[in-house]
Amino acid sequence: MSIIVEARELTKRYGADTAVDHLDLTLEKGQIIGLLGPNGSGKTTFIKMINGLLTPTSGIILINGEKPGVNSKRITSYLPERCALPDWMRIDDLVKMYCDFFTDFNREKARNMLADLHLDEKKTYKTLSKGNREKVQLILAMAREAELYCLDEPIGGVDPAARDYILRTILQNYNEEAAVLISTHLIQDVESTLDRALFLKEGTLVLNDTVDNIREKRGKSVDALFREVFAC
Amino acid sequence: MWDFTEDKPIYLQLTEQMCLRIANGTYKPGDKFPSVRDIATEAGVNPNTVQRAFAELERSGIVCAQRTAGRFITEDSQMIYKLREDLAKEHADNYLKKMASLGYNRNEAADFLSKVKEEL
Amino acid sequence: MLGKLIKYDLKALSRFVLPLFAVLIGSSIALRICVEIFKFDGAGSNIIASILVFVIAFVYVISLLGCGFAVYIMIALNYHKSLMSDRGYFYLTLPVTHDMHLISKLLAGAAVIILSAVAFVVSFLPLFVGNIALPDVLKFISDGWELIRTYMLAKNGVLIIILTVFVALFGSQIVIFFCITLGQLMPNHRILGAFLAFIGHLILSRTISSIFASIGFKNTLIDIYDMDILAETLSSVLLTTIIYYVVIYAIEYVATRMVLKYKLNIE
Repeated sequence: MSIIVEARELTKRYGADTAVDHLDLTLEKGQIIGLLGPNGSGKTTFIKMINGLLTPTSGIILINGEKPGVNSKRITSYLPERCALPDWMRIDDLVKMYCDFFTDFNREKARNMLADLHLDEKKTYKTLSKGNREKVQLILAMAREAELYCLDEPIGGVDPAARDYILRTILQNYNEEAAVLISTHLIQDVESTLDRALFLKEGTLVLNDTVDNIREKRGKSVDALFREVFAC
Repeated sequence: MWDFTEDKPIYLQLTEQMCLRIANGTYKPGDKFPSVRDIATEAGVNPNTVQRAFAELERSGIVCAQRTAGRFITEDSQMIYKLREDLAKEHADNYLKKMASLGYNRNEAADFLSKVKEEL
Repeated sequence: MLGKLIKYDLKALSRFVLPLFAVLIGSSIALRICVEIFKFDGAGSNIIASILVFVIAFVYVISLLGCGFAVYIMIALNYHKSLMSDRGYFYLTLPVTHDMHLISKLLAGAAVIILSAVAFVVSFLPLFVGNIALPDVLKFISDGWELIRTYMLAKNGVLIIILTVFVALFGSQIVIFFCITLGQLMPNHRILGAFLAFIGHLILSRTISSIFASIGFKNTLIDIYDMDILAETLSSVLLTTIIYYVVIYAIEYVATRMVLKYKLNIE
């Protein structure tokens, strides 16, 4: 098993606030990992550091052994929580843009997925509903044949049928040379998709184990364990 | 379709449900087994988990992996018959335990079953 | 990859800038047509004609002014939107260096600035065609150029031209990017931050300017009636001034890039 992401004592502070606190973990290729935690627990901050959008206050984050930079961005497919695409473009323009910038982008796959979800390529991104905009962003991210996928809340804003489609797509896309990091709080929906679960509480990693182990050792699902660990 | 509960590891449940399908003839002896990817997508389950379930089945000999050709269900009808019996025994055991909790002893439980099998 | 970045920056800028140029040139043509039509009609007595001409002329003048400012406003907005807003989540995760982002924006901005200068000049044509002879215009331009060449470009002429072009096309853009980028270091007070950054820019200019002044020119009394020496001195002053600007812009470019790489937090 080879390591694709490594965090050592990774810390991010904003003034007095510590968003991510001495994180130590590795992500391996061929795995689907769930980054689970309540809002504000540091999930997005961690993902932003992997993608070079934030620099750590201290500690190290390495992708394929290198600091985040042009090389890591080339092999990482990032789905942000926000709608990050230029909204004045049409969907087919966006597809073309992805083709232009990413050599690992599979245009056929993207067009098939758009058709499956009944999205008209001629429509302007701005005119789509929020759910459809998220679907488009997700399709574009999944159509890349990347080595690392960072999906920040991929299923939060879409209807249950689309959710199933999205999870199925993630499974269909599975390949042993890639790792998929899914950050979500809809744990029940994704649990069977995951190899491993990471619980992040106030910036600290409180659990790092495989889903199988969690069920075997504790006799309950990850979702149930989550509710215990993060009980309000 | 595949149905998973929350309290047991999914690979175990997969193994059980696959055994069930083999035992009841849904997957016939000598049939080619669906691929990891197909089952993963169909069941909504992580491919590594499916892989682990397959490994269990291979270990018990019910499924044989032939290097390039894929995975096949054993042609050994004895084995399949035994599998079916074992699964049936589990159900029987379950039944007896539950009846015992109601106060029926084994003979009473067996008689009861003969009596109601017409009605059910 | 740089080419592709430029392509998309140009697309983003031209969405707003091209309609503006169209209005500029269109209103100039319309103005000319109106003037011509009403000339035949004895325009002075016709109030509606006068008002129409006035309105179109007004539109034309506003577009002229607008072109100058709007281009820079568009450049600032494009920069902010692509790198500092939600879109930053997309652009900053593209497999390109931060330098390439800045260079792409500068080049696309330069292209648009040049285009606006061209549109500016082109918009005069409809007004002057037929009224002014082309040979006169050409002579005017070549005389002016001779003057510039003799008195300002005597020494290091080529260098001065290159640097002037550089400063004209990229200088203001760099200051804009500098202010916006440093401004976002103050979360929740980005506009205030940008103003403070601009003040920083002014302070920087003054500092560099005093350094240059202390290095000084030759403080010899020059014989201004000696044309050669006058020309040489003017060239030196010009070159020094331009270099001073280049130094400021270089410093600000580096600062912008550093902040972009290490201190950016899009929220």
